[in-house]
Amino acid sequence: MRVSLFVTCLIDQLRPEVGEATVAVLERAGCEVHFDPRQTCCGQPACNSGYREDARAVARQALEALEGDDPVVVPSGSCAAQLVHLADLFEEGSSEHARAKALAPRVHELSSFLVDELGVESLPSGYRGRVTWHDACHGLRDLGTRDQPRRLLRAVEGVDLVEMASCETCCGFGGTFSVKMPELSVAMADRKLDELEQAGLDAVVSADLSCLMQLGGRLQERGSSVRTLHLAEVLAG
Amino acid sequence: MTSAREAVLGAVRRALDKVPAAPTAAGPSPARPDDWTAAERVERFRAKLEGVGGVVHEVADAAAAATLLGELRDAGGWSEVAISDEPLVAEVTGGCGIEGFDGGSDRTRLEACDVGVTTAQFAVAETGTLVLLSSAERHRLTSLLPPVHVALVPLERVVTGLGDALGHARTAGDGSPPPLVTLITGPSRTGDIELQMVMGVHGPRDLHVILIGAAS
Amino acid sequence: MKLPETASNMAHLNANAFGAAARAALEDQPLRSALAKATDTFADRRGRVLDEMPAWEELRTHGNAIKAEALSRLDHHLAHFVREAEARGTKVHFARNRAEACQVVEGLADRLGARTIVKSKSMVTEEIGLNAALEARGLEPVETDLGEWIVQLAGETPSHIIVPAIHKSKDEIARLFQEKLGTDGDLDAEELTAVARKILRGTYLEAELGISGVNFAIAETGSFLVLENEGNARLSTSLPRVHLAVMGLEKLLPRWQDLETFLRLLPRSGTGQHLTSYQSIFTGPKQSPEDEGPDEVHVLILDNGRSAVLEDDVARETLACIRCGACLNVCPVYRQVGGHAYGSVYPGPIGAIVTPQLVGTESAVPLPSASSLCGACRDVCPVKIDIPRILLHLRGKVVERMPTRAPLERLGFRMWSLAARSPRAWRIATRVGRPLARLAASPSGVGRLARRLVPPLQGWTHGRALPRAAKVSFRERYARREA
Repeated sequence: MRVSLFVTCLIDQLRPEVGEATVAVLERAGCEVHFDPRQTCCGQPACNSGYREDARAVARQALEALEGDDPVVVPSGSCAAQLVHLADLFEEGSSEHARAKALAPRVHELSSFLVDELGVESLPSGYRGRVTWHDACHGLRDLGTRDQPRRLLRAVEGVDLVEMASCETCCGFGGTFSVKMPELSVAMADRKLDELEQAGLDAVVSADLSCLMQLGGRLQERGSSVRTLHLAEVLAG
Repeated sequence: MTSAREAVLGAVRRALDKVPAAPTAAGPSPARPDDWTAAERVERFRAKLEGVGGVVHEVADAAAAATLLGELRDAGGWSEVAISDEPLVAEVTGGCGIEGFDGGSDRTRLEACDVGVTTAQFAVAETGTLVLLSSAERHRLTSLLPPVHVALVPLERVVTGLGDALGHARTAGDGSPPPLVTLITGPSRTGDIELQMVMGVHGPRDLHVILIGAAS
Repeated sequence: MKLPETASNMAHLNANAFGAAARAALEDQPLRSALAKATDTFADRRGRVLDEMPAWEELRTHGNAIKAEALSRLDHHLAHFVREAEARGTKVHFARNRAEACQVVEGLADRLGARTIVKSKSMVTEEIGLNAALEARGLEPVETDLGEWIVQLAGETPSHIIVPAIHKSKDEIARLFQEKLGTDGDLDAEELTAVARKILRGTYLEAELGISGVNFAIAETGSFLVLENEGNARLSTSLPRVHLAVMGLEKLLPRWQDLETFLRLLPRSGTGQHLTSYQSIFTGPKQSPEDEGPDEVHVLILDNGRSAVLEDDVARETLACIRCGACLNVCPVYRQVGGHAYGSVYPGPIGAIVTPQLVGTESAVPLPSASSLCGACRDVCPVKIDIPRILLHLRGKVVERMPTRAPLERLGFRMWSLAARSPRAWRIATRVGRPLARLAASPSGVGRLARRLVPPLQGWTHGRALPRAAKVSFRERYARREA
């Protein structure tokens, strides 16, 4: 199956290895991965800060880069949710609104694409470690991604998946929230990390690089040895 | 100058000028329980009310209720008993030699009573709730001021769901709802200090329901 | 119309200080552990009681549909309510704003020659600052809900919709009672409660006027409903000669039958109960031969900015809120900072959307941003209000209505969007930007300086390491691979 990869601006610029792992995982699952270099960002940072005009301009670019019929796979629940809801930015009846509406059903977060669309049960991975899963908010609450990544992780032989009571609690990132209200944002991260650091983990795994930046940046500051890994990195391992 | 009433109603009307009416949501509430048998109703009523700290007794008839009430009086050391104006209350209190004080008129005396005895117009099995209609009985203050409330409930007044009782209440006051419909589910309670549950903060600390007519 | 005290239409409004207030709350460890305990307890109780309610989603859908119907034809339902209520002897008053609302109450109190006024819990009377207005006229309004009474005794404001004194420990309350009432300083919760009961019983008996809030009003029958656990609302509305209920105009349900769904939704969401201990449904004053209850029943219907909210297609559903407080208990922000930080009568996620709409965007700028948009509030809302969507909508209003605010942020987003709308500009911008970002994240002197001076970096590095940008981006690596 031919799929279009929306790699997200954060992975593109900060952790390209996650993008490469995503390509590897999709190829292993039998996909032919296409990346359109016209893509930039989904527009979420501006949209979430109230700059709708700027968000619209960027959203138009995403619409153009993602034109076609192929499923669009996104290694981020947050960016996938933004792409699913792009139509909210445009006036009903406009051509962009129609294009955004047509795009929405083609967009899939990585783990739900693998499990729900491709029927993947397990992927060969040599990763070994004791990990926990952090449910990123938008993947969980906007897209209903809960069991899919857990199933894929449990299917990796070397993975010991430990559940945290606070797995569904927000990490405190929240886009510009993290820099506008840093003390609060860090306090929210600490609530999770206090529990997480008790569990003797090798890594916290999630499907959103933004959450991983938040948790990873804070873990580093706390002097913790717990790593942050994207789901694709574990599955490609 | 327009009145506040015209101004507010006008502002609401103008705000909704271009808003299409949402479809009607009239219809029964989801999660309505199915019709339960009499035995199921009693069992659920007891489980729910006792779950929130009420006490449920079952007796065969008014005479047995009188005996039970006498025992409760002796155990609780009640001396002053307030009663509502329902004949069943007079019958049961009279049956155990209680000379009830008909509350309402003298609030200070009512306030000093140890217990208030009333009936309830309905008991709801779904939630363990007593339903008191102000049009049916003079029990507004008798059920509220004394620290103990005893409600006598003939078995045929136990209905399955909230909707059943509310449906009756809707027209109980000459086709309208009566001035006051009170739903009571357990004793008065608060958790306002460190979420610690304390009973009897403003209303009764103890609630006894005596179901009359049960084949116990 | 001139407003008392301040120009704002909400009492004690200090929402623009959210940032500083939140930072102060984060330093208050006892507050934070009390909040953690309370919010966890309520979220737990709610979870347990929902486990026994398999039709919960259908109930939410029904609740949402009833509210949507009610709000979309609120003019009609209000008029219907007034007709039915008046036909049953209830006196109905309206107020456009805070000042008018207080005047109605003052007028009533004057006519009755009232001195002592008992009040049962009502958010809307907090909103209009009724107690201060009455006290200014020499009257004595007494809050009777235990938590509210404690807060009033302390001269504070409530910090939670359902548990007003959630921010105070038992020991603080015991010391407060000692100071104000002369009781022993080491009373436990039972004893403190008994003190309140004893004092307030006397107050109910001497009060001439009882004021309550309204949880729901029913257009079809002109009735209204108050839910509670303590019995203070029953006492406040039974003992004084006159009962006045104050409500926001959004409280209407079309039909008596609708009550059933809301009686299933509200207690489960608010306190995790199947039903609260008491519901009182009022329909007019006593009818002969009844000789208990008030001689007069009054209802005061308040606008105070609500009708303007109705106009907004996105935000209208804000008015569907039934004030259960469930969104506060699951909100990771509220859990950290508590209610006072919001500087509004209405705290938490619901407060963050209600407040700016009632008091104006400019008077509550930080509130729509006081959220990570995690969406937990939307998931628990018993009437399915899409709070994150409305937060975004209100953030948009801040940007549109305050064009001179945050010029650097505005410029930053414009430059970013100018780059991101063209693949070529994006390629150039990121090629230039990445090495700079790497430098900023480096341990070098330039890096340290950048982290101290550049606002977003400065914010981020408050307690977090800055991630290093990649040397080679994904797109560059991908292009090489394809080549």
